[in-house]
Amino acid sequence: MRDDTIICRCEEVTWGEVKAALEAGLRDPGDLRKYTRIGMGTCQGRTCERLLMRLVREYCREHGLPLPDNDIRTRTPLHAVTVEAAAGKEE
Amino acid sequence: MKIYDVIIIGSGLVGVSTAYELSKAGRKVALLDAGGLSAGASAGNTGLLLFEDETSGTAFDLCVDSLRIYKDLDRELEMDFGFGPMNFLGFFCREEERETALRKQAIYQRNGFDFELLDAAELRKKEPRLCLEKELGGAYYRQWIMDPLRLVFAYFRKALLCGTEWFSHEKVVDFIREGSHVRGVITEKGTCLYGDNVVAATGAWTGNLLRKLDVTLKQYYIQGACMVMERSREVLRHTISTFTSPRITMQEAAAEILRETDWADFPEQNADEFIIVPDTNGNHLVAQRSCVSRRDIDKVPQEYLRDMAANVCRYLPSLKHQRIIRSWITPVPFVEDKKPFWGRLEAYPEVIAASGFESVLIMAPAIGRVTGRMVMGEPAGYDLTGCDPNRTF
Repeated sequence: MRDDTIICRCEEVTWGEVKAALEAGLRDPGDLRKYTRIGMGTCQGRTCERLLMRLVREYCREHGLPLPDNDIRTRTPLHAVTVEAAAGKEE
Repeated sequence: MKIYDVIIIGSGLVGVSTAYELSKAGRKVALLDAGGLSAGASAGNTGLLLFEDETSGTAFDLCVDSLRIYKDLDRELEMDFGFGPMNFLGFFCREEERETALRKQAIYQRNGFDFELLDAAELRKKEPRLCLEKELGGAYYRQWIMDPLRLVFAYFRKALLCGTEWFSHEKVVDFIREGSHVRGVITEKGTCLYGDNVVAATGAWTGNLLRKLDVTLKQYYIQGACMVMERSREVLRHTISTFTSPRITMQEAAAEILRETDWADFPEQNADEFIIVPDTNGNHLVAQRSCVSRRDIDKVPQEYLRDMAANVCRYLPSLKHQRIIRSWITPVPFVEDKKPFWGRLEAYPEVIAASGFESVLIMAPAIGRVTGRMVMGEPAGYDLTGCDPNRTF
């Protein structure tokens, strides 16, 4: 995987950026999300989360680090929803 | 056996800034969090740096000094965290608010910050999209914004480069005690860490943590919910909010109730506040439904989302077709007298409490420096008598 390969298309986060966060000491997938913005865009990680998890596990195995034991927590709403629909005012 | 100079419990802004200051000064630091990096309110807020409403005093000085530190902090930490000015448009809901605004204007202007009072026509000109039943005018003034996640990460990264050791998902379940001295901490996973000082920087959870030492901090929490809208072309240029925050009114009411009632019998209090913030990443953050409750709420309930969305439809109907992509809820500490618990515990002098701050985001850089000085036994440089964690009320 090249450093300039985009992992998260919504937020345009590259593997290089994720790797830099791993090298800085982060392991937790939720932390990687918060601090690189991977999975913070419109799709909320539905596209990139599995790829991210695989890459993190690979990185940890290669460097002899313990594997992360948790996934990224899902939050409401489960899918992007318009403001008026959330307010129950959709016509 | 490795002995740290300091064990910092909690990796929120207070924890990471303190870890950075101490490891920069050559101290051996262990940084722990029960969750991941900054699992609480430091990563769950709108990134607004709100100036303290006080005219003078320690909190005010800390804010002013922090703003000074912020100006060069990105260079020091070698990371951009989007710090910059963001004007605040506070519209009035009641005529009386104009008087409060006049007082606030005097404070701002005395300190060299912009503050405009707007009449109805000026308010409409400033924000034509705002839809109000009664147009009473408002206030337009200078605040600041940053990306709190980037700031946490910037401090964390630098702290680790300076030698801080990081213990993720290590929940402290007890303290290692020797008579009236604390020698270290024990975590849920069974890790024992020894240290000469322990800093409790656990925000809303500090009361629970120190109860293990039979120390009572009269600290409660407010849970604040927020929702994020996706990026769009129609981005606001300023933060828009009601001038008076219903959350502050609720906090005062809750403090009043808590003077008479035990936390165990506390009746839930709710506040529905409208504030919309264009964040540093181009999203709109809408806050906030908040409540003072003993319930542990870890996901934003459907009705909170509904109320926040309804407020957007009511005040900024032009945004109603935008999509909500995420929401969060997180507890922030509050103390009856609005002062933090900040300093060494009388019962266990190795333990320093650093919790209950009202405006952590704006004060974080100064809080880190001062807490660092406390650990190193240097003078704080501020009058912290009101913040004594051993005070009773």
